[in-house]
Amino acid sequence: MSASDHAPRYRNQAAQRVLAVLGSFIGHDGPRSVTEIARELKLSKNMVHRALSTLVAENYLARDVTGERYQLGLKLLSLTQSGAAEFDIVALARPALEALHAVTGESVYLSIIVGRNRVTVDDIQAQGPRVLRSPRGHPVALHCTKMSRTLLAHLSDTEIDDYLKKAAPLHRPQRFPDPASESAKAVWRDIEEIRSTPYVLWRNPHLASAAYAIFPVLDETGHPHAIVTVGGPRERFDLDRIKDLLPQMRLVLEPLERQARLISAPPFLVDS
Amino acid sequence: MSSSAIRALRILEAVGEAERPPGATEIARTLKSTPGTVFRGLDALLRFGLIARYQASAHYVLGPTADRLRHSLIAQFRVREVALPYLRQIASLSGETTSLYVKLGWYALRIASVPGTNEITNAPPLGEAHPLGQGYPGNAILAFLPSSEISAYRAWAKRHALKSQVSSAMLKEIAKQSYAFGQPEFAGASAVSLSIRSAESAVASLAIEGPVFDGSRPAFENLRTWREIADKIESVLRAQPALGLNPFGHIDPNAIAL
Repeated sequence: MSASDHAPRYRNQAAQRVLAVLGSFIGHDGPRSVTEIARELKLSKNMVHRALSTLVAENYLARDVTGERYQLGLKLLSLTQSGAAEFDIVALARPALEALHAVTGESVYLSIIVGRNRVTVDDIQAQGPRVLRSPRGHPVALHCTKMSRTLLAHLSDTEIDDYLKKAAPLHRPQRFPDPASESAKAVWRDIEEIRSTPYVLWRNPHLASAAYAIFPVLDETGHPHAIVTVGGPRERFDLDRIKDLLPQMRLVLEPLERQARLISAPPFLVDS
Repeated sequence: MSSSAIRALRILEAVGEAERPPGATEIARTLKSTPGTVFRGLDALLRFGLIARYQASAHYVLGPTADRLRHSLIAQFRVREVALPYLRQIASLSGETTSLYVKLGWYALRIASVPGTNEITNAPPLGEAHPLGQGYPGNAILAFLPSSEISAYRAWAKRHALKSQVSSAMLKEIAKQSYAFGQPEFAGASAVSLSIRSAESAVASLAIEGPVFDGSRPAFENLRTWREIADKIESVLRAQPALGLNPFGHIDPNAIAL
């Protein structure tokens, strides 16, 4: 928004310019220059320079390490009254988890990427016979299991290649065989399959009675915030039953998916 | 400098500092200004979203632009994006709110917080800061600073007559264990903070802000697990040191007052 967009009603142009210059720092990770701001706000460099001087003197901005550019200042830390919550995928997803559990009666899990692993950070467990519990907080490598690979599949090709190189030699810490996790080629094959559908329906051939629906929760660029998994014993939650329930489950997940698209997913950062 | 701009910023600060959403008359009284001047300032701030009307009334609260600016400031600490998934992992393991603090000047500043999963958890505000020598998150950072910096901190704390400073013996103990404890709050259990180091100096600490440590064997096992998770953050910072840089590291710490 240029400073002139605010002109019609408000008479004090100087205050308006200063607030516009301050607002121009929103969403910028790094320092900004006078020229950059002047161009964006369609103001003269002199005007921008004066506004910057006011904001620096008041601690709303600070000079960067070079002394030539400007970054947000520490005064902003005192503006905390409205207490806007952090984007918290667990809090955001909780209503959807509860609704999915109500619709299906089965166990529901929310899992995210932590380093090179998938970690379940929230769950609701079904009563009676249920799928093997995926304990909260415990890491499972991103190439192992269909759930992990659903998260992995939504990273970029470069990130996946990088992960597979760093995770080599691929190993399977799981008790049950998982052929798709045994080589980079097999992981890629499964990733292509996962990417071809908006959700994953999966019947584990090694757990005699478990079936799952896995839904990725993505940002606008398709990067993963999390996956939501619904799983249950096949005698009551086989693929046919999952397909019957899919329209309801997808309806439940719509608001979560919509909100998640508005926020960037965390970057994929792993150690060397 | 523009006096009308400064007036608008003072009005913004008055709205931010008020205990209850203030009206124009109250702000005018606080700033010793006229209601007309305050109305003009409020109008500008409203237009930029820096303040908002409280429940459609003639009272004001900070607006979405103020939040976004504060978040943009906090996002300059790249260590935050490295640590967030690990904070979520610890919050899900411990059940307690888990936060990330960074060193800013001589303060520990909370820049990320992930709520715990227990029925009762803490919901601390981002941007809250305490001197490094006061409180376990700051202690876990201070213990890993070079001795010259610890001396400089102590000189600063003395100049500001800060009380309840951590002792040197306690700092040595924290450096040895690589974690600091809060005051016991519930059933004799304490909150815990673990240092996050980059290039041999602490850049941050990770705090589990609830009663999680009671000295029992399982509590020590949990502590070991959390330390391993904190080590993962350190290993990312070792691989990409730029992520641990402090965007205010070029400012003299003695000049930073929060």
